[in-house]
Amino acid sequence: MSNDLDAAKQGFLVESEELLTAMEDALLHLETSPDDMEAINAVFRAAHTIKGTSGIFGFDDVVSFTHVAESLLDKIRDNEISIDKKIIEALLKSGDHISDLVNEVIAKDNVLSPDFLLTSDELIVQLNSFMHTPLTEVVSAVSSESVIETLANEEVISSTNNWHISLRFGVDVLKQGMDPKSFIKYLQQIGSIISLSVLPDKIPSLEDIDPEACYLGFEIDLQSDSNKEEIESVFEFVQEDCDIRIVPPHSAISSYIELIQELPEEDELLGELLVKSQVLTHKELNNALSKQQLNSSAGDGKSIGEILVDQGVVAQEVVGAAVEKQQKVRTKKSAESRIVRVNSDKLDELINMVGELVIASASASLLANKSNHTELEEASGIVDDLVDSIRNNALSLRMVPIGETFHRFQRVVRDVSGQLEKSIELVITGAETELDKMVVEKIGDPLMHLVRNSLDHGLEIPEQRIAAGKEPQGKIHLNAYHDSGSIVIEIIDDGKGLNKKQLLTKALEKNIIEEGQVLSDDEINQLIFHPGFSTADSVSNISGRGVGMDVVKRNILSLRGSIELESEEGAGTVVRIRLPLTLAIIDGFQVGVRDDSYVVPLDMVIECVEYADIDKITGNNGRESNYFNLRGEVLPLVKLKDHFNYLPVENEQNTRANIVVVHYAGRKAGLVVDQLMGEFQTVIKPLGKLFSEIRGIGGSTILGSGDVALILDVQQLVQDAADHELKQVS
Amino acid sequence: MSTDNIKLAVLKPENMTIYEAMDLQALFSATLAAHKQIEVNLSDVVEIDCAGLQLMVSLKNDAIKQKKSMAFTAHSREVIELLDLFNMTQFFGDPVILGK
Repeated sequence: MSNDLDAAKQGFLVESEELLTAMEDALLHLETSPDDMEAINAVFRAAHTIKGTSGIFGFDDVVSFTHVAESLLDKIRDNEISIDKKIIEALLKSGDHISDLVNEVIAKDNVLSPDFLLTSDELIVQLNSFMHTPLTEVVSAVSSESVIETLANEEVISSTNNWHISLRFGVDVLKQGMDPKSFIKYLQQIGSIISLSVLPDKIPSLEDIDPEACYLGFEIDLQSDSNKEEIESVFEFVQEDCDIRIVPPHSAISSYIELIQELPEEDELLGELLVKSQVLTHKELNNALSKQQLNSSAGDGKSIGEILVDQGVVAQEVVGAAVEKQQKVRTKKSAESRIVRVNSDKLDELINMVGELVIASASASLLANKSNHTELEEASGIVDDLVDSIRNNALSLRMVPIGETFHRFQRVVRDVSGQLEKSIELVITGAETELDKMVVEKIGDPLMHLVRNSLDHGLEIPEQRIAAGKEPQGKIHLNAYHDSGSIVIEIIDDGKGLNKKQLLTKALEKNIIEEGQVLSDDEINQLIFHPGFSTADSVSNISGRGVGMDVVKRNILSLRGSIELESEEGAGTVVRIRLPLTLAIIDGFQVGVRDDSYVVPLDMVIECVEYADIDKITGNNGRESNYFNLRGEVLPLVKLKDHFNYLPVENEQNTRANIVVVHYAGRKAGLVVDQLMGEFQTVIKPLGKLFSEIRGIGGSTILGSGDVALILDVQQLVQDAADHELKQVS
Repeated sequence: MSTDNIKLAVLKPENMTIYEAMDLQALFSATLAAHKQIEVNLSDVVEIDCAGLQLMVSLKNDAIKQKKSMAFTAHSREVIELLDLFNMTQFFGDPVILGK
């Protein structure tokens, strides 16, 4: 029981986070286009839903605070108050506060520390001030009086607003032993009959009368608190052959509309909706439905709503409200049905299982190929294909677009630029680029740091920008795209760029470099990733505490990614983060060195070429050079045999070598291997800490044969090749 | 009954319910055909239902149509109750005096 409740609370937590995010987005949107009703509604809905759900859990403090925000929003919605920057600011703060409140009440079991209540009160005062109600107490006194007045008024109105019942009794009522008199008498018991008139017109002359038939009709005005269904139930026994219409009092129309809006959001037929809100009784609905069927077979296809209005059973407004409700629920439903919430543990488990499946199927297909049994090979080929698509699908389950992470920065950019008195625009491109959910979660903090850095240090204040001949409004651009099995995230700003002199001086001060050391531009830029390096003259609360860039780099490296920085003084900075798309399973290209297997991520492989003796260039020192002429292009080589210190063997020369041309981050290198063994799916198993020092190995995997293969860290190998090249040049 | 067309006929039915409706109809139409002045004394009516009421309406209507004089008199408590309930005292326009 309490577990259920906890789960429900967690659900609420997630839901409210989502709602608040939507609210924040809408508010930010409102800043640029304050007339967007849709956005105002979105904000209102968020506040309203959170208030409602909080009420269910009994989080009174959340309810009372949210209520004030909701009231303000309601006024904005009704165009009583026009939204402006100040209100948006206050609402944004309120959103943050609601989030804090919700987290707090759930964590602390509905107990709030006084601090929170204090903030609540402060914000309530602020919100109330927009509603032109400086003193809540006075207002509430006034309004309670007016409530009493309206109540009294309503009573007067409702006394003239009665149910109207039209009765036309069936001919056989009397014969069936029922007397209309008793129904009228019964009506008197559930309400008071204000007026009643008998319609005697249908009673024939004595000559023609069937004395045992009933010709009576009644028009009755009834004042009653009962609902329609109850009133109808009076006539339960005669319903079948009587024509009974119960028209609600006028005042009930608004209460019907209210009822309709309060109904739980389930997709329902219009008629059911109306019955639930007590506008319509089941019988009336059935009648209308049969009429609809009759009509549609006659080629007159009216909607059930139209029929009901035509029959005068339901007021047009009520049908309108019901239709609106129906549509609202449908849109919500379709949005809901597109997403299924799954516990991420289950997903991880699935991915693990798929990993095992990939290994097992590789082993099965290996045996099938060895068996020389054609049918078996074919069958196993089909299984392999299926496993392949299962793997892809399973992995894509974890893929989420990076847009959500990007959009979080709208608020950051807005707030920080306000604090720093800078005018900054955030441009987002490639928001639909997908990457592993786990990576998304881990990239959030480093990204935040980088964005804040750009905002704080990169972009200048408008005056400086104008002086430098730039647009007064700075621009920060978040971009994402896929590139050879990685996702690239760029944070681009058009600020002042890195000041190389300043960087060098600072580096000397902090003993990161030595006097007289010659550094390339790139190396200077990389200095900011050095631990304990900060160029900001003053420590602000936004960034610049000197911890950060090194942490950012470490975090990204731990995701098997890389980070690089390009900067041009005066023109801006580009920080480029490169991350593997997924952390679990990759398409691998298997190569062999002597008897060992290695795996290169297939995405990084461009081509394979033969490394014949004739291509081998002898370097200056008489040994084989580390370069290869690839159609006129100089390709640095990484000889895996040398790299992993294989001992030379006598008759090695005879084995034919191959080059696997790989690329990473725009750089190419050739890996020299003995054999090319082809593609296969690789489940990455991390290596233990013990092996973390080995350069060029990113993990291990298990082959179908049960052997272990090492996964090459191409990034590292390409880097090494480039470094080697540099060393040789210098 | 009487064959005199001019003479006043006074009917004094007992119960006026569905069970007596057939007989009542026959009685009413026969009386109406034969007389120009009809009085229906309702003092003995202990039970009346809508069937009876319909016949009253029918008789009244026909009498008016045929320009004959017709009156219900000495309504019993039950008849008054029903007419009150159905708001029909005015329809008949007969003086209603609560009997003993």
